[in-house]
Amino acid sequence: MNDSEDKLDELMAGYVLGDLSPEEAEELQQFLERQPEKIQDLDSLKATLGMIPYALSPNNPSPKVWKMIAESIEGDRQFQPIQKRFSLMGYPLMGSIAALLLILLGWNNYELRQNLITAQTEISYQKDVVAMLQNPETHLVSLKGMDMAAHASGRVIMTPGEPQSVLILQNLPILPNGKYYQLWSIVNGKKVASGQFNADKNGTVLLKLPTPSALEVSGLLITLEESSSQNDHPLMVMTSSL
Amino acid sequence: MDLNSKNSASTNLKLQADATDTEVWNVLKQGQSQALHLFYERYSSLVYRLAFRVLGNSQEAEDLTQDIFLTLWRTRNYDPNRGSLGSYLTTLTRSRAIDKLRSRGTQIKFLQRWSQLMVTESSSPSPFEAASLSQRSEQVKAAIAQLPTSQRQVLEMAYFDGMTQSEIAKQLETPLGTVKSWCRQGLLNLRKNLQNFID
Repeated sequence: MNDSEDKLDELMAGYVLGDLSPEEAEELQQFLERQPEKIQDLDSLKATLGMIPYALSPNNPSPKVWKMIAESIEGDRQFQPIQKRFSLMGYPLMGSIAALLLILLGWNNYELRQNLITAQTEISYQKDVVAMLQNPETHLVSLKGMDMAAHASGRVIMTPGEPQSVLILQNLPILPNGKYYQLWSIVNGKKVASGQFNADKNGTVLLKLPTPSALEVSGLLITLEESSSQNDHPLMVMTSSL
Repeated sequence: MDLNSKNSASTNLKLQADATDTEVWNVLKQGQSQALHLFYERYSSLVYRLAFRVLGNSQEAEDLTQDIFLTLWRTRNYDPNRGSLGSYLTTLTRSRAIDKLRSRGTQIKFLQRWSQLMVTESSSPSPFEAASLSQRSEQVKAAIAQLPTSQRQVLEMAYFDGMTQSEIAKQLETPLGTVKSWCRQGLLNLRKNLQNFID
């Protein structure tokens, strides 16, 4: 193995452990662009990390745990018809808008339906999004990923006069502890902090964020930040323009 | 036995005890709770022992175990094409356990070495689960035992205690760059030691 391969291995290990510096992340990206076949080595390192718990001494939960799970499943089944009353698909107009939303967002239908039905907070977001989409003044702003988040995409749905916008992102890299994403609004050429968040385990973000008046915002920007340090040049991960 | 790669045309809704994880997953997606029960028999011990190791008490570990399997059932977000179910569950469990740890506002101190983790089994796993888990456990234990002490120690601190490398460097009074190198080399060496098991 030569020095270059050693370096690539080290960077891949750092990626899996979540300890790459922005410079190292860029270096790794360049390596992988030249040697895409090495991406499978990332998977084997992830698998290796996931095996560590197997070395723990055997230990089992008490029988009551499965009993509680079974009761919860049964409870879900009984609750399902009530939840369906909140489903967007029950309302012809809202159903059409929801269908449009699904296409706009390019989300997996099945996963979205599961998520929307099962989480009360997300139902609330759906209603807000639908209400916003019914407003002809609502802006739908695209965000495109760059650098470490090249595959990320999403939308911000904002309405002039409304204090909150809805941020919907997908395929964002999941961050290690101590790091977070920062949304910035560009107002009069200056960055205004507009909220912090992390992607969930699927790389998805769905949340409400306060924003300045949409009329004043000329662009949006998402950067990668570290809670433990003050970085004057954070890595830009997504950007947009209005 | 590899739970994920066994070829079989049997994906009907009647589950056999030796069905592959992918076959069981396809049944679970149909809303059959017997599939979740089979996964619970196979992986509850792994999920619980990890939750217990991170959280340090049985009540919270049991609550988290329940939460993990209900998440698997309700969200159905696992994708067999992206890795093994064991890896998915341990990643999810570790992430949520460390979130809970941090939400307590206190860090569990790094007190235990691998060899000191002697826990008595509270119940017997099924024969299938026992064979599969014990085989995996022995392989991974042996692979970890071959790591240099420094690499093993920092991997444990990062993985189980959710410590950042800066926190580890401070606790071990070692330069951050050295800790980073130990972590990375530890993971690479572990992969080398487990190579036959991964492929």
